[in-house]
Amino acid sequence: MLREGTGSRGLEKMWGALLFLIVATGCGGSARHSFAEASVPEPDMEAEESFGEQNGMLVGENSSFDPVPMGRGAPMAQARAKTAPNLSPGGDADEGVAAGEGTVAGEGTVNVNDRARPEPVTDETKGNRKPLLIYQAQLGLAVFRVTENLDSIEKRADALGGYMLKRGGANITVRVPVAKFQALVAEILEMGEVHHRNITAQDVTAEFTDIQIRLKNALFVRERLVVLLARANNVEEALAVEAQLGRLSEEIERMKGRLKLLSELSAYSTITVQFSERTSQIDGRVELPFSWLSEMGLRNLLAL
Amino acid sequence: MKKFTRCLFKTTKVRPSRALRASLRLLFLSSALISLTACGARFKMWAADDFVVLDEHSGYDYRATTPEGLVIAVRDIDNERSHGELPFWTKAIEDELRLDQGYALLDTKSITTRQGHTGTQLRFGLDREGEAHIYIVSIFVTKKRVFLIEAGGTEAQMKRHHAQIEWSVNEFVIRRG
Repeated sequence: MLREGTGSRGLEKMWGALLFLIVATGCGGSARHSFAEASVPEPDMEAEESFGEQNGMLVGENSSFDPVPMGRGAPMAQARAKTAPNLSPGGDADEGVAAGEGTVAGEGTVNVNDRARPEPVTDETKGNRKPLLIYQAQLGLAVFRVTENLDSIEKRADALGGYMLKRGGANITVRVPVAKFQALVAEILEMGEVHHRNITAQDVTAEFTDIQIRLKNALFVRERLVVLLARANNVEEALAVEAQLGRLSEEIERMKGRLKLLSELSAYSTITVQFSERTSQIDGRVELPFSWLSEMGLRNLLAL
Repeated sequence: MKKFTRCLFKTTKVRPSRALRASLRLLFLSSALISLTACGARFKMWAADDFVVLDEHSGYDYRATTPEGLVIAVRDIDNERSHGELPFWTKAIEDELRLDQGYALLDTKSITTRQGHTGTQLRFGLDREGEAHIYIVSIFVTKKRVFLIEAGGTEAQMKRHHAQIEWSVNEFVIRRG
């Protein structure tokens, strides 16, 4: 009976320890945030969310460099909280953390679990994204009352949720939400005689996706460096890891900046309008052999 | 001239007075002068009361201006060699002003003068020195000639004198096309 009683108590302790472990690891997992919460672009959030979900990518508050206490005394819980997730297909965050438990092999050495490496993006994941297009229009028109037309374009851009980027002389550049781009271009073309129009759409989907992948990898590596820093044996090792962290953080910020720029450029379209003065608009146009034609116009007529 | 008057009065066997003969000579000379002048002008243009006709045409065949500087002018161009028709000249003028000189074409319409000549009127807009200007070209084409009536000035002036310009174009007469 006594043995039995001791045995059941031992079993209870084991269950208790196991439960504690599960709760502890569960807490570590819940401290993370999805990639969608990272401070990268707003306009294409839907695409990013799906991207994050598909890849099980978890970044959290670590998107900016936060210093970790140097030396060996860093708490294990902190190190665990920053352990990279399992990114294998279908794996969820909890599983990732559970797998991550085995990554710290011993004091001063860190084995990077092969299962925790970021998965390369497949065509399937790329296929789910909407194309990111940057629209630009350059329009040249001969209009009557240049100033009034410039004012009109500025007001229309404002009314459509856009803004004026640049204005000078007979030129204006405005940016409008991509959904309003075609409508405003059509309105402007009605303002006068169109001398030239150049409308382009640049597809930056591939670049955006590539930067996202590179960012994801960089964030993953930084997670690992943070763990390494926590496990550094001496100041020399810590300094070496910190130098790497600094360089990586710069790279991460650059990539985030580029992602933000691409998102903004694709969310707003740029329209540049050049109203013509009395200058020749078409180079190489055939000149008819009637000299009186070129003498027409207000310049000669009003020269009293 | 003396032979002509002598011949005239020989047939009537009436001896005219010296004063009558002088008057007849003057009449004959005046008629000849009037006929010669008429041969020179292929068109007749009237300017409204607000306008003053200028002696200095500067490449035009007729030019008149208001005190504010609104100008109406006529060009008489040879079409005998080119044989261009109204659509050709209309397009050539439109392209020259639109594509080469940066004018905005505001309106195109068909017009007919009181005399019955049908032509085309092009209305252009242009900003000059920060001010909106209007330039109207009325084109009439015959087998031998191209007549252009050009009117231009600031938008305000053109609005004010719109009726006078329209009247001048309407009254334009082609004498010998």
